[in-house]
Amino acid sequence: MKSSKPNYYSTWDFIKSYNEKKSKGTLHKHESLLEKDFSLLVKNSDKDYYKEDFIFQQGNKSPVESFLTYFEIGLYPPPSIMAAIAESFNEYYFRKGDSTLEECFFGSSTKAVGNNSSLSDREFKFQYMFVTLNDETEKLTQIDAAEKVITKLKLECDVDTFLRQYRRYKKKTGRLDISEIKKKF
Amino acid sequence: MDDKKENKELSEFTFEEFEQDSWAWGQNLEAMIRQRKVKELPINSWKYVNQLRDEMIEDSDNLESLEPAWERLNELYDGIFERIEDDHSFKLPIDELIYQVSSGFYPRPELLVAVVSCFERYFSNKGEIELEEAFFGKSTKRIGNYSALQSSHPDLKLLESLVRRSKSPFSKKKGIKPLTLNEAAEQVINELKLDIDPESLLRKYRRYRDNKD
Repeated sequence: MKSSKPNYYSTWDFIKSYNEKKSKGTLHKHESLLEKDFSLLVKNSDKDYYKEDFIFQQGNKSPVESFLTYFEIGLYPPPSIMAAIAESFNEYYFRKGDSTLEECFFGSSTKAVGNNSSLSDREFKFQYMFVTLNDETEKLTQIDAAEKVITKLKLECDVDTFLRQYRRYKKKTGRLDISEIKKKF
Repeated sequence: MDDKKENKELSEFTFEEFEQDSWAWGQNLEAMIRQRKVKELPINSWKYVNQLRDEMIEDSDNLESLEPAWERLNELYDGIFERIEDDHSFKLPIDELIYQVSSGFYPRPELLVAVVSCFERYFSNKGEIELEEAFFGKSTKRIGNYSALQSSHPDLKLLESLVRRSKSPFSKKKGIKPLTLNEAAEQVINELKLDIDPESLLRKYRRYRDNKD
């Protein structure tokens, strides 16, 4: 029978249970190895991004969204998120065709369009930032423009994180056409 | 109008084709594109990952690049995971990522980016494609989805996987000798408790492999 819920590994329950196991020292061997490597990444990075709370903040609705957020700010995700992605794929293979990948990650009740409404916002918020930043009448700094977008779109995100994401989005997307983007607003 | 006509001529890319070409998947992509068997470079493919790798190495000075983090990790891993061109131990990039994470290693950055790109393709298409399609191409009615396809012939898939993994850079580094088909067949029989001798299993495997080719 197909479940309307995503598989366990694609939920926050898995992440919470992972963190509990971590604090009790009962992680699986491969998870402990990842944690060891992760300490090296933490040492060389902005530690705030790797605080446990950060995973749940930034408006992420699932471990997959958190996975994408880390990538957007140019960081390897923490082990719990890496494990959530790998285990979800393992679960998909284990179900041998009984579930689609979409059902496995997001549950059968949330089809792509539903899911997408929150995640396509990822692109929208960066386009909105681009328009705000290029507003000739206001001439805002990057920080001011980011604050304005975060407030206007009610994003659960801090300015630094948002700016890192925006810079990477722009770099990846290349030259943005202001007149094309303005048509969307 | 011309564009429409051109698109109509392209045959759809299915799991079945994907499976048939699995052995030479990365290498055959260019030919498949030329023959218009695929519309664009599939993201979850070695060809795409290799392209990403080259771009990422070139862009390694970028402050927010994953490359410096990978260099530190790879040093910790004694350079086990070489970023080689053609000798891939896994059929798909996602399989290498799953294997590495499940073995306690962080994956090479290009594998991470390939997986992220598949999710992004799914989300940016606003419901027009399934997540399954973003990762594995279109499913076929006869077989079902990619997970169903993978579960057919579990004995032969395990055999392939054992041989492939024994040849992986990780195994090489650990001094594990590559398995012969015979040795792999014996392992499969023991693991799956099959009532069959290695020779018969290998005959079955050769028939399966020849049909695939």
